[in-house]
Amino acid sequence: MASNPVLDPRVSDAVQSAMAELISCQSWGDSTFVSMPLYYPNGTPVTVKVEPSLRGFRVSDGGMIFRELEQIGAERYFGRNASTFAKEIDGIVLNRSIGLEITLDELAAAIADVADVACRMVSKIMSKVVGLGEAEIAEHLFERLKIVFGEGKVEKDFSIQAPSTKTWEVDAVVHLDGKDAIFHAVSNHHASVYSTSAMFHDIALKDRPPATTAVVRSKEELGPFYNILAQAGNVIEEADANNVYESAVKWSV
Amino acid sequence: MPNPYLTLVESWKDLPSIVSWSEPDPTDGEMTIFAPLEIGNVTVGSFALRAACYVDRPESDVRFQLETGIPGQRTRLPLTRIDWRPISGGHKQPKKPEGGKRIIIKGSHFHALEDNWIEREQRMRENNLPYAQALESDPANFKELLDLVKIRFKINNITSIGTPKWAAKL
Repeated sequence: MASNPVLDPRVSDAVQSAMAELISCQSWGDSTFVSMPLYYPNGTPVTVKVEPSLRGFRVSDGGMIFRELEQIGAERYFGRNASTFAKEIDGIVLNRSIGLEITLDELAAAIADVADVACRMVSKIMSKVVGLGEAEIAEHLFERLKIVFGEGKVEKDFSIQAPSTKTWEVDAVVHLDGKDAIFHAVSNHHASVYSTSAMFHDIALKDRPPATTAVVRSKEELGPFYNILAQAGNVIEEADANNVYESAVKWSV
Repeated sequence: MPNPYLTLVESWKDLPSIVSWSEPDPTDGEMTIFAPLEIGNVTVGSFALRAACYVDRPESDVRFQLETGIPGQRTRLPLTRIDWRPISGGHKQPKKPEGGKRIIIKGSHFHALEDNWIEREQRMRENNLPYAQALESDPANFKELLDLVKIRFKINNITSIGTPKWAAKL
């Protein structure tokens, strides 16, 4: 009879050790805080608070969502979003946190649900704040394009209809001799990248497609999103020299 | 062009004399400080110290942050932060540091201005100070934490805020 292969215990020991770094808990009085292997956008582990309640346990974010938002002065977004996210897990808004009242057999799932919703809510609000940054890039972009191409050739907040029949809103268009070039500000948030990518692909199907250029703060910071954007159109950085802007209008995908 | 925030962080500063910890928030027990800062007798507009802790977590889960405003926006721009014994357990870097190892920082850590500033683009990194460093020497108590904040944030009279009125340890 064949015997089981001998496993190298170093691997399982190492993984056990790594798991202890990824998930941990601390108790204070009646409450236990579970640090989950999920991270808010700034790298803070998502932490869930478990405390006793009449039904069994109350599982909540323990005010951590509010705290993450407070650090960037965005705490007012908590009230606007908390009930929507709480509903997703049949939870309730407990003043400055989102939580659930559950029984023992639901505890593990409730911890996972609260952690997931906390992570998504903070990410969504952070992306809104990043979106404000996107508006800032767009404003700079318009001024920059006027300098590079001349004020009379640049049009801000331009609408363009694509073969899908959707009308897209782009940040700026430059009207050149017989051809247009589109410039659109993109933040490094996935929502901004995906929507721009879809828009550029759609516009590229036009009979005489304009050159499409995404303007980003930093290609490096985009990470894998850079490749997604680059498949759809040109990509330049906001701080690039004037000749880079001039070159971008020559290239159509 | 030099980092415009470097002068704010690197200059010696003073808190107004009346600053102290707030009463615990009735909902979650958070105690906070949000105070303007003076540099050479000038209270610098929008520049502030933010601190927070929880009444039920004595000598733990305390953060100090220097921050400033963003023109035209209601949100704030964190410049540097110390997280002391955070309840979340630590911090994960957005990516492997150059020449360093990919690790999760355990416990107390420091978000340095320099690590979160992009020189070429003359701006702070997005997402609320994503880079941090482990503290070489973790303060043993709140008094030592204030000593560290004094050195890192260059606030002459930081000890004037006093110790938070934590509930007695259970």
